[in-house]
Amino acid sequence: MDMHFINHRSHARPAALRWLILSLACGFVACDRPPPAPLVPPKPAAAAAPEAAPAPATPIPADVRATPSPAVSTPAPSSSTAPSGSSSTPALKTPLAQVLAKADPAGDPSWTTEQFSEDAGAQLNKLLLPCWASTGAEIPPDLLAPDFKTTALMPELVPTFKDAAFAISRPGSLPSDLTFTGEAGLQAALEPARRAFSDTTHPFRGKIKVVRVEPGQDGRPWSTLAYFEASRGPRQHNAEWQCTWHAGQDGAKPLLASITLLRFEEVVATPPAAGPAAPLFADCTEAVLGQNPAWSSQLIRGANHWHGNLDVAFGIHQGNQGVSLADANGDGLTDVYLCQPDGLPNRFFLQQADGTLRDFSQESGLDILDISRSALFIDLDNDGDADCVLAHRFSVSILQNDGAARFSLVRTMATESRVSGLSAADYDHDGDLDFYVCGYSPMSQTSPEDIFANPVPYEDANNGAFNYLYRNESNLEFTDATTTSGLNQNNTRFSFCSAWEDFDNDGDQDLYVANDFGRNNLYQNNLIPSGKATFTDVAARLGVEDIAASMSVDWADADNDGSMDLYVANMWSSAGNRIAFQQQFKPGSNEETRNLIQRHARGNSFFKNISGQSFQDASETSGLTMGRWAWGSNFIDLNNDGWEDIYVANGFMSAPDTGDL
Amino acid sequence: MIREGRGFSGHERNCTFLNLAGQDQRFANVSSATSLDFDDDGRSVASIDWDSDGDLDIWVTNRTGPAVRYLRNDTPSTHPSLSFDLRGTTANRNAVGARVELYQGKNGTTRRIKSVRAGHGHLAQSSLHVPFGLGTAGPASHVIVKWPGGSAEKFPLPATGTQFQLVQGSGFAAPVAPRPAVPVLTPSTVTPPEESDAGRIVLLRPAPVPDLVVTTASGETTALAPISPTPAKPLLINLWATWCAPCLKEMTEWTSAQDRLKAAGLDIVSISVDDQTDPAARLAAVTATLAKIGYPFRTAFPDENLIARLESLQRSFIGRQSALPVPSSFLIDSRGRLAVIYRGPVAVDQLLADLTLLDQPLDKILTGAVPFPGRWLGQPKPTEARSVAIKFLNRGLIGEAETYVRRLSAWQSAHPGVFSGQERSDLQNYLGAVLYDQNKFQEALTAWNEYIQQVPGDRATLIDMARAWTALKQPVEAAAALRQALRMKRDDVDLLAQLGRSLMAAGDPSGFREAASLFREAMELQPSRVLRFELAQALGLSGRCQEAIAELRAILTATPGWPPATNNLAWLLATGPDASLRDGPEAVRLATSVRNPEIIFTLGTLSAAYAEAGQFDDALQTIREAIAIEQARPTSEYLKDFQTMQASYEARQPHRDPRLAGGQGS
Repeated sequence: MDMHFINHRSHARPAALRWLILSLACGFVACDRPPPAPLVPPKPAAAAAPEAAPAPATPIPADVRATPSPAVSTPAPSSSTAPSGSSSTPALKTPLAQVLAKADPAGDPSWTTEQFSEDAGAQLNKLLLPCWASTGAEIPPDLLAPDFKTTALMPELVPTFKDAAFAISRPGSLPSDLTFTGEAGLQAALEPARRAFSDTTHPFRGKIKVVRVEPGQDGRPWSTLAYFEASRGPRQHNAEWQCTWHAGQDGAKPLLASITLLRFEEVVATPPAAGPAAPLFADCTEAVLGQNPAWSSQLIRGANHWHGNLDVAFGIHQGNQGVSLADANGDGLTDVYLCQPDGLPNRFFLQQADGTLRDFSQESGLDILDISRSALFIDLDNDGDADCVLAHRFSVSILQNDGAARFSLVRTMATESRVSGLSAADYDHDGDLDFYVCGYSPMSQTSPEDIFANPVPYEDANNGAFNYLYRNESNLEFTDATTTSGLNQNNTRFSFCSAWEDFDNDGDQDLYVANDFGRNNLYQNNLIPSGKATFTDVAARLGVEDIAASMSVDWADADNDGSMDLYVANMWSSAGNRIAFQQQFKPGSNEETRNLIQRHARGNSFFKNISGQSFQDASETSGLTMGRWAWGSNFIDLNNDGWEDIYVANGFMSAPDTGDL
Repeated sequence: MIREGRGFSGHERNCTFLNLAGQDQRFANVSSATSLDFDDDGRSVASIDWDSDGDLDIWVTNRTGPAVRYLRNDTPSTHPSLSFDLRGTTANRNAVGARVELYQGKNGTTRRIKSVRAGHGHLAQSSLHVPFGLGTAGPASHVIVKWPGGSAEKFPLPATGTQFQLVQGSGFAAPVAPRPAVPVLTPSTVTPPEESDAGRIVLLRPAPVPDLVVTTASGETTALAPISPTPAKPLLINLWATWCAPCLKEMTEWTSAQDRLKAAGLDIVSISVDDQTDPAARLAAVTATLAKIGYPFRTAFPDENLIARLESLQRSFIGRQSALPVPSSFLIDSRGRLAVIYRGPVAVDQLLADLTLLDQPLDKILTGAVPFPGRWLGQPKPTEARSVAIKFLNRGLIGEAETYVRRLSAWQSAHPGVFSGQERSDLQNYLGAVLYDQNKFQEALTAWNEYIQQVPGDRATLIDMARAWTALKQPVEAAAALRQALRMKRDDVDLLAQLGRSLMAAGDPSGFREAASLFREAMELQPSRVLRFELAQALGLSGRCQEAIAELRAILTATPGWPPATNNLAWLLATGPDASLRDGPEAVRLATSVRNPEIIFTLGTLSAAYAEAGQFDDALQTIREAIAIEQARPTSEYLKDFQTMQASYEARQPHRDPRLAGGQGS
């Protein structure tokens, strides 16, 4: 999800007015009225008090004076406009926003289970994790309960997969008995893992994340579900543990009572030819880009640097800038275009014969300073070179290539939406490429500056912006075909990205749209031979609405059954998981809302296409949900075995200094 | 939050999932084993065989530095691969949308499919070349391309070669000469430079500075950048301290370049932020330091508000929120507007260059405001001056916000034509808001009145005005503002109800009737017990007791025993004007059920019910109890009413509420 609400305050109405409007939104009566008039007996009839305790106006009987009715109460501006809390906190009053607030380290500390999760996580990470890789390490005191017991933690493994690069092993069967007891038992249970990690060429690294927590009740222990990941260079262990705990008394840390292994996997990568310590993927960024001043002055730096060097009018840099790979000068080598945030020029680099890049931004005419999200390099006029479609600010621009990667602006199409991703297809089979642009947030009707609308309702927001289908009319002219093609259905979401594919194998291009804060779209193309293409949104019918905060979409035949499967990147939130699955979360909320919120925190989705007729949600069975706060999530066959692997770029906003989870 | 430098789901490690080739449905998590698990805030991913070695490399962009990474695939693989470059002839030339089916193995029994795609993942475009890893399925015999809008076409594949061009209609997979071997690039660990607090921020639109007052060494107070219609020299306000080495270095440089700076017309005032607990010691230290440098520019000491004001000022325009470092400087233009903020030292050449940006139009400023050259297709919208006031508000400095808005007002009068008409009226709106936030309702209304004459359609402000009038206990005026707001949007439950309440509070009988219809209208939009209760109240006071009773009974049917409705129904049944509607015994039953000495008027209701039922002794006993309680209170709200009632009961007369006769009765 995009943190679109961070910035709105600097643009919008004066803070005071905004506060007033917010309180108005939650009820002129309920919010600002003083405590209800004492018509309702406070003690005996407390249960019968009006729900929201709005003072039910003046009682007629005793109040014989005409004027003092508090029907319209005195507002309490100073208390209702406490400034500190409103300065930077998003004003969303929606369920997931509350979840997110809880997830925020400075969030509400009163949520005891969150405190417990933090304590349990600290116990696991600080005390237990270091024992995983160091043979002979003492089990620290203050970790285990006296009655601690565990299943085997690294049971007998059997090879599941092996090729030249990867060997994957998983348990033949999961141990179900808690056969290891006490400290000695834990030592014994750790022994196989320690043997596996005994080669100390590489540093040990690991992380345990608590993803579910249920409080212990009636003296029963607390229970947590934890994801475990540890590695030494090419060897990696992944596991899932059910832990029980005795809650600490008086601020003491909880004590681990048991671990039950639910899943285990060992990965051993074969080092590349470069040597045993070399990584499978080598970061050659500096070698490719380093000779360009733009690298060391611009691209090596992150958003935080620019936040300190640009007027805030340029916006808060959320990093949603795309990369485009295409041969722009026809030399057979693929070139690179990088979109950049407002006030920084987009960068265009030509690939040289030696595989390095040369900055050609200025010469190309593509050194555009306007905030840009994405670009496509496609041959729009079928003249043999790649023209450029650029999504920037509230518009899409068409730039024509002269064949030598010098681009000139042909036209700019203004949209009512803050634009995001682009994808192209010849949807009507007329021989030229059309394109679809996602709109994220709408330009406000009332105030052009108030561009950030809050998604409402958060978990299923339908107040986003229009997406546009631009039909190629030749001569680099485009018409808005959104409505005539039927793509105006369900077209008010917060859309990030889209991708075309013939999912139903009928020869025409269908379109999947990934939307933040809610349902996605799968538009099935009903192209008829005359060339008239109309679309129907079949996402709900085919079960791929994937209600979540979606950031991206990719297609590939991942199971090699002849139809294209779907991978959708969403927000996986450990805090969201912990909280949304607890019994106490949103008590009184209906099951449907609760499911929606849980679904929101589930993470990425993998939908297997069944013969182009239906989709099967294989996200969990395929182990593909936990992409964290996922953005670009692409199918890439990393080992050339003909089976599509997946790479997920993730992380929302890192602070410059301290590490977050 | 982000602006304040805090993180949110940050430092997450990228994930890699390995497809186990059908061996197990569950992919393996190989994130760490591949070394692809950077903890960047990753965003856009694209793949390509960059170095033409037959496997797919990765480009990925990040929010954090580095903004991009190229990750070369060195995965050892024994699997061959093929790559196809498609060209449409009747289909679009890039063949985007073409489905490529690759047939491998004996008799082509293994089929793999891919598509030519332009735009996928997050904001990415990967190479248009279509790559196939062949795995263990054996050599590829042919591909079938389904061209978009065209038919399927078979391309037999020769036994050798890894890259082919497939031209629509040719039926021939044309081998592409392999690219000459490229030198193997050397990997490295990218280390972005340390982030520093330093920065230079050019405001896209200069903003008038707040009141800034300093004291000179001789004790005179001076206002910096006073509001004046006459242009002044550009001014650099510099914060420094005797213990700050970069400050002294910077001031020494300025001293050396004083001729150039003065020739450029720049006035500098350096303000010491040294510890002021011992002013004499501070003065001595400052004087000594300045003498050592031979500092030729003005120097001063801050008044109590100066630093806080400059602090808010800089936070209003900088994306990253952090406290002002020392040194910091503020370049003020000839009209007293902040044009450039320097966090950290500023070089003489930079200062001289920035002087040329002063008083320039936006497009000129834009070239100076961005760190690298480039071209604009449009223009960003500058931050408005009022954001300074907002920043004050957000930091809890409401009085400062008011002071600043008033200063903006004064500034605008001194420099007519700089602010647009809308900005001018907006200022009044803001002034109203900051006054309201300080409970200065009357003054707020004065400002808002001025604003609303310019912008009569601002519904939000009309509502704010109604709140201010209400706070001043002037319901008639509140009602007028609400009426105006309702004219713009009628279907607003809260406003309808609020107007109803204002009319009730105004106490005019004709208002009660209107209030009743407003409550009814609101209830039709969104039924609620409270609204129905208020409707009953309005009906009762309009003399429509029968309807009022019906509404209250409806409430009690839905919510039996609800005390407010129970009390009011008892009151109507006991004290109403129409004998046919009165019912003493029921009133007694109802009033008894809500009797509560802590809620004094319930005793009043009960006494009236007893009286109506003819139980005057009970009525008297109850009202005396009520009077005793009221008399014991510091402020007695109902005493007079109770005494009137007592007198009636003593005369063996039931109490009649004159208001219930409505406009007609009384």
